[in-house]
Amino acid sequence: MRRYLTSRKVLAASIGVATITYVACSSTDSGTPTTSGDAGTDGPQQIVGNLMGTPQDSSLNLFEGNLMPPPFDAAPNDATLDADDGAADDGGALDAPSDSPSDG
Amino acid sequence: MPAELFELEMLGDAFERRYRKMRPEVEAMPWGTLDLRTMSAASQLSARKAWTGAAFQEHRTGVACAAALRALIEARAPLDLIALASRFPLDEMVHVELCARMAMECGGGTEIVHDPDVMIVDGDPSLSPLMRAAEMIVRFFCVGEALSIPLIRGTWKASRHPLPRAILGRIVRDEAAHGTFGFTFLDWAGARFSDEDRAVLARGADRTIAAVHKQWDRIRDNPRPPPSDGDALAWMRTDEYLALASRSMQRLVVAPLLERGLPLSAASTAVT
Repeated sequence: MRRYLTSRKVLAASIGVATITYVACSSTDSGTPTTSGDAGTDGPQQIVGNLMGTPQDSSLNLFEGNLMPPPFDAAPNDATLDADDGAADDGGALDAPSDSPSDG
Repeated sequence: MPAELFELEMLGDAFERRYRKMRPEVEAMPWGTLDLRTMSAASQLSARKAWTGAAFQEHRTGVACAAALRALIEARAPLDLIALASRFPLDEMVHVELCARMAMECGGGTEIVHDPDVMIVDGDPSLSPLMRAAEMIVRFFCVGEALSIPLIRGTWKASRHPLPRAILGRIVRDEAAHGTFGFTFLDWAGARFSDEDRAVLARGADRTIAAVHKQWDRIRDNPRPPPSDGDALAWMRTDEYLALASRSMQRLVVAPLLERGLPLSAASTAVT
């Protein structure tokens, strides 16, 4: 009898917690409050919601695929962009860029 | 396809060891250093939701990279260009793991239910292989990935705890190559495009940019909540995010596409 390989979970979902559904070209959000429950805390839902456009609408929106936008103003850190105008941030690499750190 | 729960697995043993050898930076990150006692329950839940969502987004991007890679091969794009792109799905799987593990460090994943058959807008089968590849690459890389780099980098700069800093730093390093890839492809393939081809590509870019603008509108309309107290939640503040996003769209997406002769719509080129 051949044994099957077993895997372990690296992401386990808590059912019913902050549910988001992406099916049938639409998205819904359970609206589970993520902070105090007031309207001002809806950031995360708004960020990750509504990914699914209609088939005619490429707003299915891969652009969002790689963004990690602010779930909300979580960082009490006004130095976010330093003092420059942000131009240096636009697409630059990190301080110690590494183009192929993982080859091999 | 019925909706499925977004959860992820690892096979382990020799398979994981080979994977770790390919990407040793994953295990080198400061896992286990997050002190949840410094976070309110609400902040913790927000972090779980945000990082689970990030894992899902990276997962979708993996699908997109694989779809574009297939189209590149079908189009017989230059082998070295294809080889470069063949690394992208692996990069995305690493990002998926990083974000998923970060969610678990924050207390566990939240519930995302999705349809695996509708993860991306796939290539148009009525187009030639080259145009099918080009249309996807414009949407996925020239708009999506190019725009994501400065935003993830900004988020990296905003982060304070070593663990999310390491994760975001890894992602932005990888994405740098993804962001330039699309334009490199266009610089090779551009000579083969007719005016009508460029119009087709521009329409794809327009639709994607319009979706970006819609998302910005949603973010802009959100009331600004008070700052969080959680180390794990060190994101850019909304107004800075929107300002950087708008600048980046013009500089890294719109201008390079116009330079390559794509007749973008007025709505796409407008500064928002």
